[in-house]
Amino acid sequence: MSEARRTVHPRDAAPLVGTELFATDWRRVDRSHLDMFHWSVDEVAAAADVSANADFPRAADNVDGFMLVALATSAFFNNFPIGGVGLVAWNYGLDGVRFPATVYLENRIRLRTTLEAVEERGDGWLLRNFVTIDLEESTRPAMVGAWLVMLTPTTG
Amino acid sequence: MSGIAFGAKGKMRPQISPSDAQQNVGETLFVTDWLELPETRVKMFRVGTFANEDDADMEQCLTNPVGYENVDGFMLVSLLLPAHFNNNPIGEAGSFGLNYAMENVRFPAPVFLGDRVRVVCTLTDVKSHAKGVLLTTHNVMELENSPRPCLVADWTVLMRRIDDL
Repeated sequence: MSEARRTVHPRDAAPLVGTELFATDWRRVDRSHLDMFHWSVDEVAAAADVSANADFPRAADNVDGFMLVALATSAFFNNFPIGGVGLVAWNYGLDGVRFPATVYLENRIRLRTTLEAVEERGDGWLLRNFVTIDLEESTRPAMVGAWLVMLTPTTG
Repeated sequence: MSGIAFGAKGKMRPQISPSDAQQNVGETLFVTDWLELPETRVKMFRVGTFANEDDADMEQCLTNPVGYENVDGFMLVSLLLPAHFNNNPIGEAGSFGLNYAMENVRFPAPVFLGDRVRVVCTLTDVKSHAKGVLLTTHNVMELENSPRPCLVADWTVLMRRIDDL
């Protein structure tokens, strides 16, 4: 976990627009976490009709695009520098998400984030973050997309 | 695990070939059953995506008075997988879907442990692609007893044929 976490209050974040906020270490998704993801959303043969993807090459070793998206949560928890005491972060939305390269269990990935915009919204701030998940030894990323995060005061 | 996500296994077998789906643009493809989101399922998602105390700094969540009870929006997005697996009528033997893109994803209403949700899916676009057929659906995840949905999302899947690989 980064020691320089959430040192920037969103009202002071405008100068960071256009800069890369953080890049995580490279890591693999292991079988137990992938299985846990599958079970949590019933993407398993015992619960869902996954025959639609029975012909997907190496389906059992493929890391779902939606799991890649969800990995942004822990990456932001551990590295995102914007926030502060008394502020709550809300998942506001996603725009322009693409999955250019397929990820399998043995691959290593990392997540990078560039701040694209900060907008005051009422008593809060809407942050637009461009997220890239790099795939090691691949010219194409595994995922790109804008993640919108809303920061609001805990009270009021 | 309580319940099976959005309908029984094999409830709806594919009946529409992707190459014939153009005629269904504008139609509601399916409405799922209601699915409860219990703590067991939500905790499993958090562990699976490393968003738990062992792997992440949850301090920011702890400042949220509803943090623990809140169901992650990305879990709602991921639940589109079983919703489509179990209910989408478009597909055919020898084909598979690749997660291609998402647009206009929003989370208008927060979801909490124990809430019930369902998916209403409309086919909005069908395009040919060099490697197959792009199918775009507009997905609204309704939250029981809420005037606002908990998720809206346009999801594009590239349908490919195994014999084209």
